[in-house]
Amino acid sequence: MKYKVIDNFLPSGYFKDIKNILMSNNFACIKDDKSDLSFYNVIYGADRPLSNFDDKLLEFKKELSLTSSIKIRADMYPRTPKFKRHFWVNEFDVSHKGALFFINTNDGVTILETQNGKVEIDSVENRILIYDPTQLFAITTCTNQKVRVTLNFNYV
Amino acid sequence: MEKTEYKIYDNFLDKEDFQTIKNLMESETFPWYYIADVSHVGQSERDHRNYFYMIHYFYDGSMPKSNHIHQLKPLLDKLKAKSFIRIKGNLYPNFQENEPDEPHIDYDFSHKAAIFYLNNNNGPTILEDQTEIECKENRLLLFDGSKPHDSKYCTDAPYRLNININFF
Repeated sequence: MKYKVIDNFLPSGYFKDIKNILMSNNFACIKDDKSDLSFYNVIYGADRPLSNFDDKLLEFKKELSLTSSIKIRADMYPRTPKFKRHFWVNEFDVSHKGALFFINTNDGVTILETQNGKVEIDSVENRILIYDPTQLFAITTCTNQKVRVTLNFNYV
Repeated sequence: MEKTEYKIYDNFLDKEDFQTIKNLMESETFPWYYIADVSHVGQSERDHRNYFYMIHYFYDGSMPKSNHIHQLKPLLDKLKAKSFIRIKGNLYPNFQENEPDEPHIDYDFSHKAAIFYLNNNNGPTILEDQTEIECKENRLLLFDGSKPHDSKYCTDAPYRLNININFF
């Protein structure tokens, strides 16, 4: 799997705005029944914005050179005493790009399968990981912060 | 210490009404909101760093705050309240730690507080006189919300789920 990591992806002020919204008590999250306990918000899906937060991502999408969104989802994983691994599966059978944006710094990792073996990407705030979403990968929960929060983009 | 006055009502709602409310709050359409600081948790650095919970306001500031409030009708009707102060859903994740929190009060004036438990778990509510009330689904605990009380996170279920109602 080819991948790219870019640190300090967004200008600091804009990043703080995004982070403050996602980690505020005004941002609605749905409990995910498919995992032990996590929360999510689908910001864009089914060919349309599903949250007003999509408007806040206009500059983000420009930085990402995003032409068209397929799905944008925020995820929040509560901390666990030990790392728990969650496998992510590509939902889409069309060729597209994936980007995982880290909202907070924590000790959870993202695991990619590459030709050279497994690679672990640390969760560092304002870091983006561009990855091939047609390949399987996994994430772990964190143990040193209250939550692990990310924004995941499927796009062309 | 003076004994804290409280009442417990088991099987408070009909099975069907209870299940409707529980299903609502456990569903994948019910919005939760992240609260980073658990006010009633001790403010030590460790606690401040480690704990959070999720809430859903049904009613606050003298007005409904949720489109789902009508789904609580069987519960609210049965309380025979004259006036509601706040109705709030709480979801406390299981952190595999259940040390007691710092006691807190809901409001500083005498009023009725009800905690309606939606799932069975080992995170009790602890009243001022240290009486521990077990979280048992479809149980309602009634006490004076101006009296100190606290709780523990659970360790034997994915989360502790309840509705906290302050009223007259």
